[in-house]
Amino acid sequence: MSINRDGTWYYQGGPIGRVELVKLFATVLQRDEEGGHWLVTPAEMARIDVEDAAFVVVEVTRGHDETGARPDEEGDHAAKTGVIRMRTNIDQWVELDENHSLRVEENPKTGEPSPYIALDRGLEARLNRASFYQLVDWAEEITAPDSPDTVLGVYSHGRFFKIGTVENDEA
Amino acid sequence: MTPDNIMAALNAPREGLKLRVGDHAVDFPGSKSRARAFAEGALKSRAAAVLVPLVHRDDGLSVILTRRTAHLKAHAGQISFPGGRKEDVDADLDETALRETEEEIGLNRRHIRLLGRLNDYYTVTGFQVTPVVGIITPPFDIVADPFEVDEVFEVPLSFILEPGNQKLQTVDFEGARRRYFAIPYQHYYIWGATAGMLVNFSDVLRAHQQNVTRPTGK
Repeated sequence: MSINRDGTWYYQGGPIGRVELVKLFATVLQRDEEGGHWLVTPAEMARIDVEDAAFVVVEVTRGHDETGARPDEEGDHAAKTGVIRMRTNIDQWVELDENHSLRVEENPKTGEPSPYIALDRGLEARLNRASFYQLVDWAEEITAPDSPDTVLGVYSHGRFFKIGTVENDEA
Repeated sequence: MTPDNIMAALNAPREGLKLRVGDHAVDFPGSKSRARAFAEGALKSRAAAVLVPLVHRDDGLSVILTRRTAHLKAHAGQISFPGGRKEDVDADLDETALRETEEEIGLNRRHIRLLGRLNDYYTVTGFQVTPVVGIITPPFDIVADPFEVDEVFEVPLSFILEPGNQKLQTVDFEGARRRYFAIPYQHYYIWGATAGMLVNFSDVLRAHQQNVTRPTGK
């Protein structure tokens, strides 16, 4: 069995069309420390080949948590009480927080970013292009005190999640 | 997958690959597997070699395996590659693999073209096994040595390479939980060192394929 880069599951060369079946397999999927993916049942663990991340984030939304900003609040506090939620291709919802953080890898040659959110059991979901652009749209810039660069990121559950760095060249 | 692909994969660098060095590598962390002591040199291991015999069949490649007779001292009744301990007369480990193949399954070396080697693999029984991969073109004759070999059979390589057929299984053995690779095929239960070496082979081939299809990598 394998999962390709767009999140499609394959069995014996053909895609698994039934979403319910994929959802069922996904409940026993986990990833080990070395990055290998496994389908785990009480009796055994079977390998599964995952081309990139096991899941793809297809939608992001932004709201507020229970202790969220009052309607009359604006700006900084409002940003820091926001919650970003993401939906994967198999309709799992995950909130961007301490245990489900963002990781952005850059292709060393093209500079193209690949963003991932951490899920449970060591798994990850890659944000599709539309989801990533949405995050970038919400992003704020902060300047780190010890660096000339500006950091771009989003707030969720009171934490700042870095998306990228803007290099400030002093010509 | 062609023999040329496999040869290229076997000769490609393996730095980025996390290949298993022995039976202990897939066991639970902290296991007291004797394979670890052999791999780390705390116990002295014995040099051995096996042939990973690939057969060029019309519908693809297959792998020859043997079922060892039940009365043998080591690995009795288990599924294994042809192979054995390096003898003084063997010039090198390729020679060991070819000689043992002739002795155990009567397959003459003139049918075999060696493609390369996999990483050494330490068994709990104290062998440092060098797997030598060879391609065999039919027609050829198999004459099993009745003392050592119960049965000679073939498994399609595509079955072995399918990730879902490569399983980690757990057993309670002599009071300890142990974990090992298994590739059950029909009524044959391929497990332990043989399965571990096949999984390493599978990883070497897969890494090469990915590098060929996506040269920039990630």
